[in-house]
Amino acid sequence: MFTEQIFKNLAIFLMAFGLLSCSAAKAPKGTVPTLDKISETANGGWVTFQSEGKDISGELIGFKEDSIFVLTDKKLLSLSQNNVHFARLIFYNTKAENYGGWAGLNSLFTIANGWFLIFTFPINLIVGSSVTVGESNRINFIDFPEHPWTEFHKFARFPQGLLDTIDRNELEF
Amino acid sequence: MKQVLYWVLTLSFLISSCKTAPVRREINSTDQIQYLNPENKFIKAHMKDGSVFILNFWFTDDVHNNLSGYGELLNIQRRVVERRVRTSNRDELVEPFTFPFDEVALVETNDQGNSLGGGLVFTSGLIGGVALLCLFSPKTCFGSCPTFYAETNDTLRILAEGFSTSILPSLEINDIDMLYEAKYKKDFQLTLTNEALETHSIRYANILCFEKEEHQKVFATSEGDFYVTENSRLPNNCKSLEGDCLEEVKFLDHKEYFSESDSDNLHSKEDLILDFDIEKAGNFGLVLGKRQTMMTTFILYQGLAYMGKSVSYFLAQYELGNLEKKSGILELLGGVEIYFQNRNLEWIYAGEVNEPGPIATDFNMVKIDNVPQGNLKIKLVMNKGLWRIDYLTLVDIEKQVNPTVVGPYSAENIFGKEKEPLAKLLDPEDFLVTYPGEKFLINYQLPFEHAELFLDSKGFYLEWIREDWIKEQNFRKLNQMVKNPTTYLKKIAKEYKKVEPVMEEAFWNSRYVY
Repeated sequence: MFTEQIFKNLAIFLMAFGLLSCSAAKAPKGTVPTLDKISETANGGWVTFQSEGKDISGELIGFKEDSIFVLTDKKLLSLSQNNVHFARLIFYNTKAENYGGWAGLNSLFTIANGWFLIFTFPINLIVGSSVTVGESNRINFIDFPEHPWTEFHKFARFPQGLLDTIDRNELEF
Repeated sequence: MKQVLYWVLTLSFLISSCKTAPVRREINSTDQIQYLNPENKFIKAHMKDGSVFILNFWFTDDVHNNLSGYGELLNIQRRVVERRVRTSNRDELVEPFTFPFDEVALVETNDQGNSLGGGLVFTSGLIGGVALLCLFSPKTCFGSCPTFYAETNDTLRILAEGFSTSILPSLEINDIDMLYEAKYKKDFQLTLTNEALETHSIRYANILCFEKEEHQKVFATSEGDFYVTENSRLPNNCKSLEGDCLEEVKFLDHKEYFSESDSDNLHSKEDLILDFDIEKAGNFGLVLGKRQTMMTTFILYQGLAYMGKSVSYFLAQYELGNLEKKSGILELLGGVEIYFQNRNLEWIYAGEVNEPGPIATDFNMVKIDNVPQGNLKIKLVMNKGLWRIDYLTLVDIEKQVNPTVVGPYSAENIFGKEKEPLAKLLDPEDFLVTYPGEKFLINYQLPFEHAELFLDSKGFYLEWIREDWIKEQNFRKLNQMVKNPTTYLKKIAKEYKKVEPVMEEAFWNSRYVY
C-alpha cells in the first residue's frame, strides 16, 4: 500500500518535472553554454529571426552598420535590420531538464531511506520542484523589438562589430 | 498523502513562479577597466583583431597601460590557441598574458546571478546521507511487522501493527489493537501489507466489535478487559522534565510528547505529572494513545546483528528450548507505569501499559477506582526516549463488556503469492504467509449500527537477515545483552545516541498521516 502510493506519487512528481522542463527557451544542444559556463566561452548567442517570411537560426556573429550577421549551419548570412520584425536571442540553455532529472532521481533514491522516506521525499519534492521551476523560469533570452539591437550586440561573437580584417569565409561554429 | 503532495507542489510552484533576473553582461571600453569589479572572476578581452582572451585571474598595469592575466586565448573561430595556467609552484612559474590596452576593443564581464543547483546538492546530500545511515546502520531503517490500514475520516491510515515482538514461531502471540480512528461501516475493510524485509505468518486477523452509543468509547486494559466509557476530559496541565507537555497530549493529532534517551544509560526513567478536575466521585480510566520510539527496534535488530552468521543457530536453539528463556532486555525497558496520588499525597500504583511497536499509535486504559471529588494527580513513569505519547484523557467507566468476534468473509490478493488468503486466515491450523511488498484486502461484515472496533491478530514473523548485520557479529556483546542487560543498556547508549536524533526527528516531524 505504502509502496504503491509512493510510486503513484513519484509518477505524478516526475510528470510534473517533465512538464516544467519544457517551459524555458531552448537553443539547440551545444550551440550555447549553460549559465555557469557563460563567462568561459566566447561564441555568440543563438538567434532566431523572422525575416521576409522565413525563419533563420544561427549564431549571432555581429553587427555592421544596419546589417546583422548570423552563422547558420550552411553559411554566414547578412540580414538588414529593417527586414527583421521579430528576433529572439538565447544566450544560454538552462539546466531545468538536468535539474528535473536530478530531482526525479533523488526521489527514486529516497526509497533507500527506508522509513525516513516520509521525511526526505517531501523535502526533495519542495526543493526539487522549486529549483526546477526556478531554473526553467530564468530569463535566458531577449526579444526584438522588446529589446533594442544594442542589447543584442553584447551577445554577439564580436561585440565590437564585424571587423573588415576578418575573413568571413573562415568563420565556423 | 496525495493531498499533501498536491499542496507541496502548488506551494513549490508559487515559491518559484517569480522570474529570475537575466544574466547581466557588461561591455566596457578599455578606459573603463579600472572601474571593473575586481571580484569578477572571469573577464573577456575582445581584441581588435577579433580574437578574445578569457582571463580567470587578471590585473591591470596602469603605468604601462597593460592588461595581464591567466587563461585562454581564442581565435576568431573561438578555438583555443594558447592557454596559460597560474601556478603556485615558484619553479614552474608561467608568465601571464600581457597586452596593451590599445589592442583591446572591448572588455566583457558577466554576472550570472545565483545558481539554483545548490538546493539539489543539499537534497542529494540529505538523501545520500540518510541512505548511508541506512547502509551503515540498517537497524535505523525499515522496521516493520504486519501493518493494517483502515479508512479514517480523511484518508487510509496505518491503524495497527500486529505482534511486533513475535520474531519466532515460539514467540507467536495474539495482539489486540484498537482501531481508534477507523471510519465505522458495516461493510468494513482492512488493508494488510508487508512493508519490510520480513516473512509474516498470520494465523488470524479478526475484528472485535463492541456495540455502543455514538457518544461512548470502548477501551481495553492491559489485562485484556474491555470497558464502555463516557465523558472524556482533558488534563488541566501536563508537566515533564522537558517542561509543559499539555499541547502534545491533549488531542489525538499525531503531535506527540517525546523525550530524548539518556546519553549515559538507555535504562533511565522519567515522569509525566498530570492533574484532572473530578466533578463527581467514581471509577475512572486513564486512556493513553502512544507508540514506541525506534529504541526497541534498534535493540532488537542489534541483537540479531550480534548473532551474525550464527543467527540461524541461535534462533533454532531458542526454538528448541535449548536456550534459557529469561526476562529480556525489552522487559527491562518496560512500559508506561501509571500512579495516582491519594489523600495522603502518596503515589499509588494503578497499572502499566506496554504495547511494543513504533508504527501505529495504540490505545490502552488503566483503571483508577474510587476516585473522590476534587483534584486528581496522575504520574506516568516510563523509560526516557522510549515512548511517544500522543493522547492522554480521563474517562468515566460505565461497564465492562465483551466483544462480538467477527472473522473475515473475504480476502482479496492484490499483490501476493497466496491464492487462498481467506482460507488461510479462517483455518486455525494454518497461516496466511506474506512476503515483502505484498498486499491483501480483508473484508468484514459488522453487525451493529454503532460499534468500537479492535483488531485481534495472531502470528509471528521472521526477519530477513541483512548482509550488513552479519558484519557486526559479536558474541561477547550478545552475551552481555542477554545476561546483563542493565550493563548493556549503559554501553550501547552512546551508539544509539548517534542515530537517535535523525530517527526521532524524522518520525516526529513527519506526523505519520496516510
